[in-house]
Amino acid sequence: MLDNLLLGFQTAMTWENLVWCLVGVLLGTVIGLLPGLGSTTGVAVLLPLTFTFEPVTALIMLAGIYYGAQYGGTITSVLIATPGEAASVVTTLDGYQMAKQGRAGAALAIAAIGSFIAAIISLALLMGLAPPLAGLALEFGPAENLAIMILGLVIVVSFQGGAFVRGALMAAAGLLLATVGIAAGSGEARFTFGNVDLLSGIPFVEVMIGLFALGEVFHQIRMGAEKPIRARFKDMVIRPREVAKSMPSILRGSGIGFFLGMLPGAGSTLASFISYGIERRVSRNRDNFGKGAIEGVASPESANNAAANANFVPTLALGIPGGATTAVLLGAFTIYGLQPGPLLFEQQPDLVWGLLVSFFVGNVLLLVLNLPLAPVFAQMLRIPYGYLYPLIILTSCIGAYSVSNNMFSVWVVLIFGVIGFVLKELDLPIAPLVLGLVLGPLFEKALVQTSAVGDGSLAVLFTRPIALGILVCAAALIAVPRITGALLKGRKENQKESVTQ
Amino acid sequence: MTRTLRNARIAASAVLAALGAAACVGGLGYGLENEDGAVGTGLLPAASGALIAVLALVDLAQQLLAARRAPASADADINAANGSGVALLIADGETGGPTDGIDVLGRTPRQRNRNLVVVLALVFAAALLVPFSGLLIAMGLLILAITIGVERMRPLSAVAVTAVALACVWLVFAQGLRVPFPTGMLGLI
Repeated sequence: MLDNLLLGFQTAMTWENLVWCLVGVLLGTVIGLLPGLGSTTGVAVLLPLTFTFEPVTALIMLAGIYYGAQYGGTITSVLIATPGEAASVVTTLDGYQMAKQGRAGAALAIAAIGSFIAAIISLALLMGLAPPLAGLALEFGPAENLAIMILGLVIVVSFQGGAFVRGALMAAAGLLLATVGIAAGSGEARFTFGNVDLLSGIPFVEVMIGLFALGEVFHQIRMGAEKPIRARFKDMVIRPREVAKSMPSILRGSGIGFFLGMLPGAGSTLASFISYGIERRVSRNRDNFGKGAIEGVASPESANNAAANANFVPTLALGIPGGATTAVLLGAFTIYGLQPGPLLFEQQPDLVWGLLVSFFVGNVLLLVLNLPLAPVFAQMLRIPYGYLYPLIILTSCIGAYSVSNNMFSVWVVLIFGVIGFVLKELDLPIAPLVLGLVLGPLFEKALVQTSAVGDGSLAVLFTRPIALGILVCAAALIAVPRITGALLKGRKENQKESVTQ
Repeated sequence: MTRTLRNARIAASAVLAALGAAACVGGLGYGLENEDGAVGTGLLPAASGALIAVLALVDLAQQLLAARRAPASADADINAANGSGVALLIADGETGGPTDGIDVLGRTPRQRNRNLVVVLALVFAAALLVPFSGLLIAMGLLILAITIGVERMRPLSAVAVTAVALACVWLVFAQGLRVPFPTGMLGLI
């Protein structure tokens, strides 16, 4: 193991690899800052640049783009409530509130620190456990994946607190929206009303831009201009006390992220949502969640980063992409003549361990670059909103167009911008809608496969121990707070009666 | 919660219930089961539609019960309990008093509502303009119209902001990322 680690450091720490890792991280951050362009697009667009490189150098640079873009998405999530990817949606909940309180610098810094710690933890886990964990991931069949998606939706709905019905309503609406287009099982078109653009479904990147970026712009126009945020520099810098306070959240987020990131599919998105949901229940500062709690940024960002690294477990060990970006990277592997799978660890140890160590190096670079830059990025909020929002509208529309080079994307952004505004005005939660939309296609695929495994019956969900265990957790999340709430209420009433008697 | 907001929420719940029911019926039309007994094309739309309809009706019932329990005088208390800052703003808009809810630029809620309508109209008009002018020109005109017409920026500043923003977008997207923007009937950029 130590030999492998040394080999990895020898490979990753050459000047050439370090420079291209830095270039990848910087390009990724810039791409993540642009609405509509997430890590998947970034890696795909910049892939041709690496064709002349050595495979290990190319993969190190592409991996740098991957987590650089994730951090870039975090910057826009915090500063202008515009998540670059679905996995950054929950960061907007507390990150944007922190920004409005003049603490954007601290939010961005804790995101970088959390990501860095998550990278170290996930690197250690990857090195020691990648091959056996890949075997464990194989135990997750359609039934287990379906169960874990149900758990994810339940957690997201349950973190709405008192607004459980409205959270569930929005999650169901997201699932319904995800059914537009060609069905996963049969290939039949649904709810397309003859529109060719709808055949591939409602594009969720454009929906996210509309709901969050334009929805917030319309909302702010209606709320009225506030004074530009003129925070003192010391408020922009994170305090050591805040880092210490966030540490449990970072550790929990890293663990959750790593575990969920290993599962092929929407690992990073589910990981960030679930870690936020759990943190909202267990954190000492849970009452401030949604109002600018630093733990509400630290936890999902750590989970997001750990999941991004863990995505490489099935990719490297099994040749199964963990997510959309790793699917593009898998394509890069084949372009370079590499065959991911169990034999890759034996045949190309310098490449595999060099790549794994480069995650650590890349996150060190991100931390070194972004800790001092976080307050600088945060200065953007000093721009009066009257100047800022026309530019947000411009970049949202252009970014959306560039996703698929189609005006349909722009119309989706505009329509969902209006819907996002209405949802905000009516106090209906947006995060469950996005998760439902993102998970919808995977959910239906798992549903179809589970029913196929069970010869048409979904009862197979209850016969597989892992799936059953996950479903019991989901049911407990719904039932336990209600039962304990009712018991506490009954006890209080009894106490009141005894006092009056 | 003001009466307007409560009515809006009730209307939204009713609309969602109707949409859910329609989706459920549509889903049933696609078929819940395939011939081999496996999950059919219509199961997820029907199930999610039914769930939306039921949850929207529950929400509707909760809203109606809350409306019955809370007379108009208790509006402020309910609003505080719900944690909705938006409701207060709507209340300001309804009263329309000259000093109520004025923002740092001196705009009343009524003016802000008008600005919102204007911005929405401009954004959709710009999108409609794309087949004629192309995307970049339409977006440039949109920024110009918002900065001059809504934000009352000086024309020179507005033109400068628009030109710099468009140049950045053109450099990054059109030149850097090779995004082929539609140039419309004008065929300029």
